[in-house]
Amino acid sequence: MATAVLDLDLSAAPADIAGLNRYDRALVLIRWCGHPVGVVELPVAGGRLDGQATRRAMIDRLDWAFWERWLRDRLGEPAPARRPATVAICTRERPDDLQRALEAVTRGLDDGDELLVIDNAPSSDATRRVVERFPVARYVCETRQGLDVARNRALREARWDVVAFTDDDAVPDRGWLRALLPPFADPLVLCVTGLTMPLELETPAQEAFERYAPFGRGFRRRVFDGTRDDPLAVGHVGAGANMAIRRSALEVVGPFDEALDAGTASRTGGDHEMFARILAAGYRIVYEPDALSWHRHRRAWPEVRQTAYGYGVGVYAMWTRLLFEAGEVGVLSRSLTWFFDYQLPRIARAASRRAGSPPVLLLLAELWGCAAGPWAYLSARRRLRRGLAAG
Amino acid sequence: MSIVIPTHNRRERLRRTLDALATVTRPPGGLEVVVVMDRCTDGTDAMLQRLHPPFPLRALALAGQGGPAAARNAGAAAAQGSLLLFMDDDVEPSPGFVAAHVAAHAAPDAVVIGALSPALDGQAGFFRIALRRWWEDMFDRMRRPGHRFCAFDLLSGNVSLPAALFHRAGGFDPTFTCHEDYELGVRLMRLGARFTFAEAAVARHHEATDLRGALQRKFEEGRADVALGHKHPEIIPELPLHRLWELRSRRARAVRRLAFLAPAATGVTTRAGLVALWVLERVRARRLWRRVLNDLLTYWYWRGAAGALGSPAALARFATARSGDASGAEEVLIDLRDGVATAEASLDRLRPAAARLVYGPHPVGRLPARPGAEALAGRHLRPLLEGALAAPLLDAMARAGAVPADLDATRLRALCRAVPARPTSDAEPATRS
Repeated sequence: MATAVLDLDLSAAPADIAGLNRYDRALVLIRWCGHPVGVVELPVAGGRLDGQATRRAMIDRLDWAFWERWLRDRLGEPAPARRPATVAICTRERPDDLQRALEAVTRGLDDGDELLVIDNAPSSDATRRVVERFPVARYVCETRQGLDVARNRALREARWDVVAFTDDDAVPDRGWLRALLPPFADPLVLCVTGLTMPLELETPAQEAFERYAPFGRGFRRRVFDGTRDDPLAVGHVGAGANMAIRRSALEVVGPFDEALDAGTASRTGGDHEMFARILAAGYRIVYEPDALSWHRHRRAWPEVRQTAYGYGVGVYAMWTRLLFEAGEVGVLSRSLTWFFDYQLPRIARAASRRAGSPPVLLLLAELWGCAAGPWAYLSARRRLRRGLAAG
Repeated sequence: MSIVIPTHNRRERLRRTLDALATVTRPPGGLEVVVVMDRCTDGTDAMLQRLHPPFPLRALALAGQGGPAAARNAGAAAAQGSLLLFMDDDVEPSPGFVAAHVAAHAAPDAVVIGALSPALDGQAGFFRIALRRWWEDMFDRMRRPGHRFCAFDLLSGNVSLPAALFHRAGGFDPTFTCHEDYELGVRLMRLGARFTFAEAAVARHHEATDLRGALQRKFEEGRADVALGHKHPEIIPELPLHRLWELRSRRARAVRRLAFLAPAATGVTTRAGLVALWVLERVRARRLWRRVLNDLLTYWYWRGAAGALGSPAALARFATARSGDASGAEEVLIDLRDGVATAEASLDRLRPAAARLVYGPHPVGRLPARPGAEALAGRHLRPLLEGALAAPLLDAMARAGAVPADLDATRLRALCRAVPARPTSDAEPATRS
């Protein structure tokens, strides 16, 4: 059986929900007047959820994040000044996902905003044909392969100073873009990340992935400050599928490392390495849960195992770069702490089939990726250098 | 508008500042620039005579003791404009700089503090990051909605005020060679000047100091803060000196004792600190590096204070001297049950020094009187209610039945009690029973 993903607002009248015959559980995003304030998991019996019981379960789950939000609403927050921005979607041969992402993004655009689709090393014209259905979107073809190559291209092409990135397999909420922008009023903020929830949990592989690596980082706004927080601890800052970057950050900390992330041997890590550099330079990153996006996890087991393996590779690839390029010797102790205090106990729990644990195979795939990470990064670097030399 | 620029042997830097001024948008009422040469021996005078800027430029040579305070006073005395803009010779204005200053003077008796964005060309590594953040944080504070301005927000590197207000306050005190701007700030606050921050009046500040320069600066600040406290005893609780004195950790006491009791060890202590910083930066131990830097800066601040005060006993007497002037300030009562807008309007009408906040019969907290700070206004309220006072306010609202019945007020009160009360200098949350 699968898990239904629901999106319910506490400020609306409760109603029974039917038609959940395929599901035995429900994951409910709790909103208050449109703002995400919490999440609750409920059992589904007989294909339906009782409205009153669901509401009570949601209320029982409310914590300080909700009450802070409730108070801000009650006191009447002044509307932040609007600023135009660029949205960039980096994509590669996923026309169906892209169609859905574009439909979602265009709903949240205001007059003056710009929408870029970076088609990364395409092997067909499928992406171009999807983009042509959206007159507001601008198609840019980047022939050099790599997600970080595409991100750098987006930053160069963008008309506005703030560039919001979303993945082709993500579906941003209508208010996503507007929520990402206000923290940039602080000139020390170079990056804002948002809340990412699973779009669907239809297969056991998707459910397992959500247990293994949930994207959500809580429901309270957090400010990460390079003069206070450890720049190497960027796992809880957010992820590249839901982030906005101030373009002038490039002048301060340099572009994304093109030897990292999808399309290279390093597989992931380009976003986190950028977060680390921003913090190390003494700037700020804000996590803003109002900037909500829904991410479709891979549906089949082999893909999910590949993703977990890729996480391991990416983390160690990023650390390899930080160690050799920036002299961050702290990654050595950090890798030991991660292994002994986190990875190993987690594997032990999974092996003893503790409730809520992800499958042990996913965790082993991640560990296997960690071992491959440093060599993957060095190989990606060599390839990048050869590619640049060849022009 | 008269721009007053004091300078001391920085011919090339000053020339770049004047070149940049030539490109700014000039106000309708015109613009004059008064350069006050403070014992210059590097040919600044000849450079100024060769210059033909598109605005009236006057150069004065300062006679006597000198110092930036005396130089600014001399410049202000010679200035003819009804608005005075003080800027330093290492500050490069943006094109809209003067216009933004003028625009911010729509209301009378404004003290307009312009933004400075640090241009750090000579520094590197962790110190560069720390120095940039030190500058940025100062304006970050003033940029926040609801910032309660205080005398120490006044920075003489980029500030404008009506000439009449400047003269009414008595100008800068020339006995101060450091923090002369803070000292003027205290007197301006007392006159009821309205401090404002103008983001658009931005200039690039070419900061040339290095780590040793920063330590020397801390020494002068320590000495100046003692003089500030002697001249205005009511301001002592707001001085960094008082906050540092209240620190009771073993580490903080050791740094203080070393500075007061072993002046002969200054050289050794400093060298040891610099070596430690060098090593810590090599291994990227940021947290420790910051602590050592902080200790070293504090040490030099105490060395300056020790030179002025003498003994730890004198420091204790100084730090505990109270004029009683602030604690006796009148406190108004604000009931938040009537709505935030009403409460804001009351604060704007009454402009009290301190306020006690309640929600019906239930206490929420206090906005205490702060010596050297502006009177309370409506715009201060909301950020405090959403921040430091959120828990006691929600608790009071739960007790008064002001939260929706089905949202479980009992659990809300438990949550409120679990939030630790963190008093700040601007808000003291009420204790929850």
